[in-house]
Amino acid sequence: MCIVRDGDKLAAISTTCTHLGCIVAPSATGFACPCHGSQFDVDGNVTSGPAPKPLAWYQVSITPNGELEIDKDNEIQIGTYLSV
Amino acid sequence: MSNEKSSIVKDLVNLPANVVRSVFRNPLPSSDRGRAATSFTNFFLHIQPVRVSRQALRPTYTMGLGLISFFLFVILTVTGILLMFYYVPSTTQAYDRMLDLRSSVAFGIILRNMHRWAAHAMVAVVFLHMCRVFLTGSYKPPREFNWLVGVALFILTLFSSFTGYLLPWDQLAFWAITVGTSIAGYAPLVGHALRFMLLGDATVGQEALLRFYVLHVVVLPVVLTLFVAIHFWRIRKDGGLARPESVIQAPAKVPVSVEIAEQPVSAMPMGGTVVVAAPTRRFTIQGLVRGPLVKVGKLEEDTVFSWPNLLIAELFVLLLTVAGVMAVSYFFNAPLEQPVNVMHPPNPAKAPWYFLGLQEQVSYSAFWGGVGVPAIELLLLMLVPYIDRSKVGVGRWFARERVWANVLFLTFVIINVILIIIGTFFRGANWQFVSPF
Repeated sequence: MCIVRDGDKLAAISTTCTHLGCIVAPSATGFACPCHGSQFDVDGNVTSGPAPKPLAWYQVSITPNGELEIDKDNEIQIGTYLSV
Repeated sequence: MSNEKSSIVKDLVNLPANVVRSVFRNPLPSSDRGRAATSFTNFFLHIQPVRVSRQALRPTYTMGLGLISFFLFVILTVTGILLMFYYVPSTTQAYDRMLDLRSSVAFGIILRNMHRWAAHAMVAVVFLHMCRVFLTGSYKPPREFNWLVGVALFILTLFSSFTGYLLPWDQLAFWAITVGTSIAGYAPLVGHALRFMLLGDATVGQEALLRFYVLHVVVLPVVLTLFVAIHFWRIRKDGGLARPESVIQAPAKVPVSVEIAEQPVSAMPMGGTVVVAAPTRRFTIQGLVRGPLVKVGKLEEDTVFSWPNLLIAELFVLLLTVAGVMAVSYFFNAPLEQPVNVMHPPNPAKAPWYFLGLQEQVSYSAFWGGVGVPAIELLLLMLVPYIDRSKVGVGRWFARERVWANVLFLTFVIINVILIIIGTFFRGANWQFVSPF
């Protein structure tokens, strides 16, 4: 899981590669997978390699006591940020 | 009374000799009859024919590859059982047990090294054996079915080695399970069910380790043993190893009826004394055989007795295999990566060499590289003896008549070797292309 912050906006992007389940790592241009070479941009869109789908974005919310909650069962549209 | 006593004393005196004679029923044979008897009265030797063709014994013909595969399997079974005494299939203990093998178990390092290197060798040698069988045209009728059994044995060998390197629960193990079961998930229709069945859970963890452990130490070895038995049995039933057609003479006429001359068994009075005729034997037909097995009344030419010719060759190969595995295990330690870190796969995360061709393939497409192409390759391999039905060029390396079949097969081999070389030497961090030079 990778928490992305853009100014005062937050999002949670999955770091599980959509190809064969390795964990991608942040790279200069976004994310890179060490197992089979898939490359993703900062939004998780596939830029090269065998990954069939972009990285998943999950629903993020702030709980009443101020904690960040990520709902991994709830995939959302790429580019949907939570304003804080 | 004294008579009885002396007989008991005699029995006791003869006891050791009688025990030995009951176990080793034949003295070391000094005649051909004895050599034949040795082969068919010994459980282990009776698996082999009494006589074996000189061709089958020629090291340059078989290179002993099938035997080496079998002996490697024996080494793996023995070292595997010993390793089971020290291993616990638990995600919290498995890795520590590997460290224990290194530090506190007597001969633990050599035990683990032998198991690992014999496994690597078995993958290579089984594949080379398959190449030998293809390039000598030995899969042709009547040996088609045994080729199928052989292909199954190759796949079982791959699965055994795969399930094996998952057990140390190091980084290699964790990411190999993750990737391996994800590939299974790409299989059409059954993919997701198969993945769940292998993992026993939604994620890679304890259940997966336990399942792969049971597969590795029980299911796969038992199935493999069964297939090895069928493989060996079929060699005998198909008339031994394949031989060039020029060597095989036209089969002798199969006797369709056997005349049994009956001799009256009776006590014949002859000139006052009674001569008891020696008990005559009755011959009955016990069964009928057909095909290349029929050898009634005809000794095949260019054959030698299995005892001792075949036995010596086999013992030599056994010695060479054990010595080779031990030598490699003495100088090189089996790899053990870092303990599992579920957040960080190693970079690059590479499979053992024999799967790097597959890894290279899936780096283009998960479905085609991991499921589609291997399935097509496997199907083509299995269909080989049913597509190529001609009976020419059997039992010889690179027979001219088979040049196209051999070229096609070698192309398949070379493509896979090139993929492995690329995966091994030309892939660096993030599986990017790098030059090793």
